[in-house]
Amino acid sequence: MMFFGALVLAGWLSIYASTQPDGLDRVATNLNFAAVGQGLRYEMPLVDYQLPVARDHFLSILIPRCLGVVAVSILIITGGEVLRYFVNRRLNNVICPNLTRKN
Amino acid sequence: MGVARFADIGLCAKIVKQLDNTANVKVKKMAIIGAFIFASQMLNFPISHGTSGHLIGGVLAAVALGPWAGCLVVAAVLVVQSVLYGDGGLLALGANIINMAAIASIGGYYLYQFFFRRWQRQGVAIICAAGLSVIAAAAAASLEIVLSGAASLGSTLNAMLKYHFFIGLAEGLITWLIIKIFRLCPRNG
Repeated sequence: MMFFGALVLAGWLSIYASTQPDGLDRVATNLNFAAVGQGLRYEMPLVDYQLPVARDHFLSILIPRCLGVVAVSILIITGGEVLRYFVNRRLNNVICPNLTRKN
Repeated sequence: MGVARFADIGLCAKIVKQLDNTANVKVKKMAIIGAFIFASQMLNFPISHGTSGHLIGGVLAAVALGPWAGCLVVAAVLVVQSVLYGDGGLLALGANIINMAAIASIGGYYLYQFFFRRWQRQGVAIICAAGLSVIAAAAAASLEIVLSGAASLGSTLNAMLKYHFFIGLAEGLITWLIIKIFRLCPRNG
């Protein structure tokens, strides 16, 4: 349910989000430090949450945003699985070494 | 002796399996909440003076998952935003993780606990903690800007707090609404 909500927010409602600069961007513009570090910029694959091709087409906006929702989930699940693997191995060694020794 | 040993091994295996199942459920919950925070952060809402704000989600994640898991979830969101979309920038990723994942999430969680113990009202505690977590993150960002030599402390802090006060108000209300709607079972400390 919540994941579906995330896809709806990302794919549909985010299109209606305000395009005005956020708090930090506004302060950076007002205090003239927005350009600091700009020389070090390099293009990311989905900059501005849009596909590099057919910009402004609704699919060009919808796909990368939904992709981000999936990417965050995959990153967390992958990290969690890696951590679980090592924790399980450690737990088996510490709590019940007999089980692992048998294998 | 042999029977007792088998019983021990059985108990150990049960404990390990139970811990593993708990971790599995929590990882899935973390992934879903992370996805939701990522989507919510794209929804900029207008505040005053032609400026917008968006959810940080630190308190949302911390209240639903605990402070450390919440911190990891927000950090994962920031990594994806930075690496795939260039939002926030790679150079500022560390500072963003400190401000939005560590300070807003872990700090916000302990603020929530403090307010909840004081008032015994979950809604008020969530709104106050989420609002203050935004202001704390904004103050930390101001200090980092000053340390980088980009602007003076007074002007940066004044400007940041002015805008982030309104963003904090919205963060508090949105966090409370999301927790209510999805029944995220906040931890009561």
